[in-house]
Amino acid sequence: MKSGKKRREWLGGFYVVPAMALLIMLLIIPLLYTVYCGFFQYKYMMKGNYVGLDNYIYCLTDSTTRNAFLTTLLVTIAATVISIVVGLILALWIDKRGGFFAYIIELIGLVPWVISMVVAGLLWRWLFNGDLGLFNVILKFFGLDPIYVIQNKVSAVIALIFVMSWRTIGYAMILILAGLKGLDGSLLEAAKVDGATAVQSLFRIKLPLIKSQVLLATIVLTVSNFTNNTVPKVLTSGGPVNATNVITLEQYNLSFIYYEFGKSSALSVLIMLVVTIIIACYIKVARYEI
Amino acid sequence: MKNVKKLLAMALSGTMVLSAAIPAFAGEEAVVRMWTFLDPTNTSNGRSVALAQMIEEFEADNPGVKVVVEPQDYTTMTAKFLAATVTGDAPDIIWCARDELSGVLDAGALEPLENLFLSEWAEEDIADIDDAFYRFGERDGKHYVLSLSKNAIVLYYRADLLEEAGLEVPTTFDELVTVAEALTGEEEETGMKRYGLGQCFSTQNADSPLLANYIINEQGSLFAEDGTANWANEAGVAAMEWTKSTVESGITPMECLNTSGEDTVTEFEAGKYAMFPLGAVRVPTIKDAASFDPNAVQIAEIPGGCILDGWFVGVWSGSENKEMAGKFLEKMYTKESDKLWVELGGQAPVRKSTMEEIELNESNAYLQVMLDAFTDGWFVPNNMGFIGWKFDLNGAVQEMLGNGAEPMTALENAAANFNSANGR
Repeated sequence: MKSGKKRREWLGGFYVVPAMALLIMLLIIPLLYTVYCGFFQYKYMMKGNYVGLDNYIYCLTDSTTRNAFLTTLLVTIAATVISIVVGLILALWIDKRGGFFAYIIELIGLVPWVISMVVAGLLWRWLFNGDLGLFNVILKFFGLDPIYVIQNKVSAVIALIFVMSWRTIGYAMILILAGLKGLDGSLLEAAKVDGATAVQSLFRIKLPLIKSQVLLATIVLTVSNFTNNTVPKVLTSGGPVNATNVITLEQYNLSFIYYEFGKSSALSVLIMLVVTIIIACYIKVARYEI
Repeated sequence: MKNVKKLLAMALSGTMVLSAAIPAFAGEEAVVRMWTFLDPTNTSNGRSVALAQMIEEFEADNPGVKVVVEPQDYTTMTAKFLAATVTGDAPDIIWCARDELSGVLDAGALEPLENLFLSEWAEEDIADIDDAFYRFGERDGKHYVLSLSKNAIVLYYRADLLEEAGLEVPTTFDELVTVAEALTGEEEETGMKRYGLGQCFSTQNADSPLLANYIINEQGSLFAEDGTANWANEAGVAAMEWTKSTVESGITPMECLNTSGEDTVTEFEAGKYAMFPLGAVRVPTIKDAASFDPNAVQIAEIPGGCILDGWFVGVWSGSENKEMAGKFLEKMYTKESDKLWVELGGQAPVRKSTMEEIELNESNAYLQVMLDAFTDGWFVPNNMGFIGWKFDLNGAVQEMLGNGAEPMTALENAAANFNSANGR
C-alpha cells in the first residue's frame, strides 16, 4: 500500500519533469543570467569588467531613467484605473440588460484586446496624424483647428493613456462580467426583499463578491501596462522630448540603440522587482489568497 | 484502465523528449541561415525578388544546400545577432547596420573574408569593387564584410512641382529653404496642406537628419579625432538655428517633432511634402507607392554632400557552415547577381563594371545621383563605434523645439549623451 503511494508520487514527479525543464530553461536560467549580466559591463554583448552594483546605481540615479519610471507609473495607474472603472460599468450594464445588443457591445469591447498591439498602435498613430489623420479631418469638418496629438507633450501622454485603456477595457469587462454571472441570485433577491437599494446591492453585495475578479483584472492590467513596450514605441516613440518615454522604452534604448546590455540587464531586474512588489501589495491589500 | 492511462502518459512524455531530439537527425541537407530585413517570399519588393532568384540559382548549383532566410526587423537585427553569437544560435550570414559594424568587429563576431574567398579573387576583381564601402569593412588589413544595398541619404523631390513653379533643384541650404517656401501651400485638387520640406526628429526611428548634413557641410565631420561628438559648437548652433527656421517658417510642420522616418515616407507618398531626405535605395518602392505621377519622384544630392549608409554583409565567425556561407555571400556579389540587384531591386551596382554597362534613362537616372553621392559623400568612421548619434541629434532638436532649450545647451546635452553611451 505504502509502496504504491510512493510509486504514484514518483510517477507524478516524473510527469512534471518536462514542464519543469521547460520552465527552468525558458524562465529561471535567463532570469539568473540577467541578474548575473547586471553585475558586468556588457557592451556589444562582450563581457567586460565586473562592476558590482554600478549598473544598478546608474539605473537608480540616472535622471532619464528616473523620469521614465515616473512616466510609467502615471501611465500605468491612469490606464489601469480607467480600464477597471469603465470595464466595471460596462459589465454591470451588460449583466443587467442582456440580449443581443449587450452581446454585440461585449464583442466590440473585446476586439482591441485581441488585435495585435502593433496594429492598434499604428491605427491610432495614423488616426491622430496631424494633416492626414481622421481625428483632424473630423475637427476640420466642424470648423475646428487641428490638434497635433502625438506632437504635444501633454496630449501625447493623454493619447498613450487613452490607447492603453482602450486596449484593456474589454478584458476587464469580460473578467468582471464572468464574476457577476457567477453570483448567487438568491442573495440579491433577499437584499431586495429586505429593502436594499440598487446602490446598496452594488456596494454591499455585488462588489465584495466579485472582489477576486476585479483584483485579478487589476493585477493583470497593471503588469501588462507597466511592461508594455509595444504601444508606446509604435504610438509615440517615447516622444516628444521624452514625454512618453516609459521604462520599457528606456530599457529598449539601452539594449538596442546603445548596446549597454549590462545596464539594461540591471534595469530589467529592477523592473521585475517593482512589478513583484506591486503584485504583492495588491494581494496584501485585498487579502486575496492564491 | 489505470494502466492504459499510465502508458499513455509515459508515451506522451517520451514523445516530448524525442521530438526535441528529432530535428538533429532530420535530413542530410546543409542549411545556410541568413538574417536580413529582406523577405524572399515578398514578391512586391524588387530586392526581395532578386534575392529569391539568387537563392534559387545557388541551391540549383549546390545540391544538398539550402539557404534559409530569417527576415528580421532591421532596427534590432544587429543587436540580436550579437546576442545570438553569445548563445551560439547566430545565423551563418548577417547583414550589419553601418553604425554597429565597429562593435560587431570588436566582438570578433565576423570571419575575415580572405579566409573564405577574397584571397582567391584576382586583382582586377578586387579593383572592380574597391571603393569607400569596401574599405569600410576593413580592419587590420582584412575585410570582414561586403556592402549590399549601398545607400546615401539624398534629397527626394517632386520634379513636377519644381517644374510647375519654375524652380531649380536646390544646391545650398539657403536655396533649400527658398524652394521649400515656394512649394509650401495647399493642393488645389485635394485641399490638403502641402509642406515644402519634410523632416523627422524621432529619437527611435529616423535616418540622419538634415541638421547633420549642415554640420558636415560646415566642418567636414560630426566627430573629433578621438571619436567624441563635435557638434556643440558654432557650426552645430548654426545648424540648429537653420532647423528651427524651417519649422518656424512653416515649410516643415511642427508635428515632425515626433514623426518617424517611416511616417515621413508615407506622408511624402501621399503628397504631403514636396521634398524630404531619405536613403536613395528606397526610390523604386516610393515610386511604386506614390499617389502622384511616379516619374515625378527624383533625387538629388543634399547640399554639402550626402551621408553614406548601407548594409554590410559578413559570415559569423562561429558558424559551422562558414565555407558554404562564404560561397553564398560571394554569390550575392557576382556580376550576374549585381545585375539582378540593379535590374530587379533598383539598387546601385556594387561593381564598377556593372555601372559601365547600364544605360541611363528617365526611370533609372537616380542611379547616377547615387553614384555621385558615393563619390562625394561622408562616411561615419569605422575605427570605433559611433552609435546613437542620429537619435542624439534629433533629441537636441526636440529639446530646442519642444522644451524651448537654447541650441547650444541642447547640443551639449546631446554630445554628453553620445560620449557617455560610446564610452568616451
